[in-house]
Amino acid sequence: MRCKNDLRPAILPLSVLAVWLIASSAGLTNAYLLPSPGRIAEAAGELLADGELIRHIAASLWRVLFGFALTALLALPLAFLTGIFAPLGGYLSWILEALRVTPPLALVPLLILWLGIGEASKLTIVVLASFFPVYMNALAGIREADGKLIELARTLDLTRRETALHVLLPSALPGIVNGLRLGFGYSWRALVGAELVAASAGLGYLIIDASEMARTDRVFVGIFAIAALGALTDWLFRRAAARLMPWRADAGRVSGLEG
Amino acid sequence: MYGLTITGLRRRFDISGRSIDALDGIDLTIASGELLAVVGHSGCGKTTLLHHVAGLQRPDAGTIAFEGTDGPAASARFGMVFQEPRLMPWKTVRGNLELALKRIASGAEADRRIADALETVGLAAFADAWPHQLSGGMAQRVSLARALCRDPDILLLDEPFGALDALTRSRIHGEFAAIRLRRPLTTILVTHDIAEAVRLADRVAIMQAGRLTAIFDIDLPHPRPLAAPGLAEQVATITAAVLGDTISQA
Repeated sequence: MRCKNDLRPAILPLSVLAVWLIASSAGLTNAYLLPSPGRIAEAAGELLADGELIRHIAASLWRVLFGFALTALLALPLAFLTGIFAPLGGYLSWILEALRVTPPLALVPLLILWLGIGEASKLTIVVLASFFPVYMNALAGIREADGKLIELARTLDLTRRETALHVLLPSALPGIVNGLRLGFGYSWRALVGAELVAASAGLGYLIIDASEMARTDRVFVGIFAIAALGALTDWLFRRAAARLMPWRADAGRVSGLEG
Repeated sequence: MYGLTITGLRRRFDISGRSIDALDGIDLTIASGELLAVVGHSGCGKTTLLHHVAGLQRPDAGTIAFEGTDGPAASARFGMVFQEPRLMPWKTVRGNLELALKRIASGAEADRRIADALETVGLAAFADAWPHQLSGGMAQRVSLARALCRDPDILLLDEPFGALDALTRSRIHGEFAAIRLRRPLTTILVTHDIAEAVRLADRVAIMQAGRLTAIFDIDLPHPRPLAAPGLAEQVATITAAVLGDTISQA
């Protein structure tokens, strides 16, 4: 059971932090391999003060948001088309399946060759990483629309367009939101991976640059920034889902993922 | 308000290589304003008959003719209530009724119809409720309101009260009979429940293996509570007729 102010999820991270604080202040840890939380906080302060952290966050966030918007524009209409016109799905199945099982990061060298190390290659990575969760979940939502409600729509003399708008789309909405949420998480992972390989700004770049400069404290700042941004965007998704689907008591916790 | 005449209606399904006559030559006339109940065992074809009248399925042979007040009509407007409420969970009660009026009325006219229909089923205060906030009985009354607000020529009821508990079902029977006294809509009621059929119907038809085997007139005065004089005898007679079909088939 979960209540609104459930603090149980905080117990484990706070315990780890406490052990970490005690171990590092007792000199039990190697300061290079595992800097103390205080040292990491200082590094975060420095990076915030000189604007570096904000610059890297802005670069990554822009790539994720723009790439993700492209994904939504591509995947959602395609899911609707293949959901409504089943033969289309047959034509696309091989190519989509091949792309689905290919890790986007495996394409990084080729994309850099074709598109250079600029934004285009990283946006493509984001699109490739997030396309399939969005597409597959939206398609499943449309295909699983309740046949009884579609039959009802016929008895109400609704047109195909009205049926799509009032029956199929709301039926698919939990799948769409779930896919968008999963896809957004995949976008972050792939983007940071791409930034580790080729970038001059972004959280992935911050991490690899700090690592090369032997600044493990800054590496941790980069990692924590990614985790915090991921958690924040996921929370925003759950809020948006609850707003978008007020008829679902569990709208904030789509797909059984705890929130 | 329309009457309808069904002539020679046939429909065959192939299930696992076996041909089954779901409708095996149905001939039936239902007068304007009449409530005909169709009873019979599961799989006898009664829901298939209803789906054909609603135009959800096409027959292999036969015709369904509608007779309006101005003479024959090519089609009719239906209000249909299913065994389960089938409310769109993403629409409020009002939103569900608005959807039913999409092709019929809008603006103030739609508002008036929705208010009237919800008033009729006693749920005027629940227009802004979500379906998941309603009990099973309330949800089913909303689905009845959805059918009524369309001001249908013909009302089609497919075991609409079957999923309700006995007390709720009995109360809704009374409410529905009262609605029909005010608005005698042409109605086909498909049901397993013979007492329900006798309480509500003007005639009760027995269906067996795709055929109509008997039709009983119910001449009892309304209202017809379960203890009404003569009701139990009618139920017993029709039950015996349904069971007799089973016995003779066995």
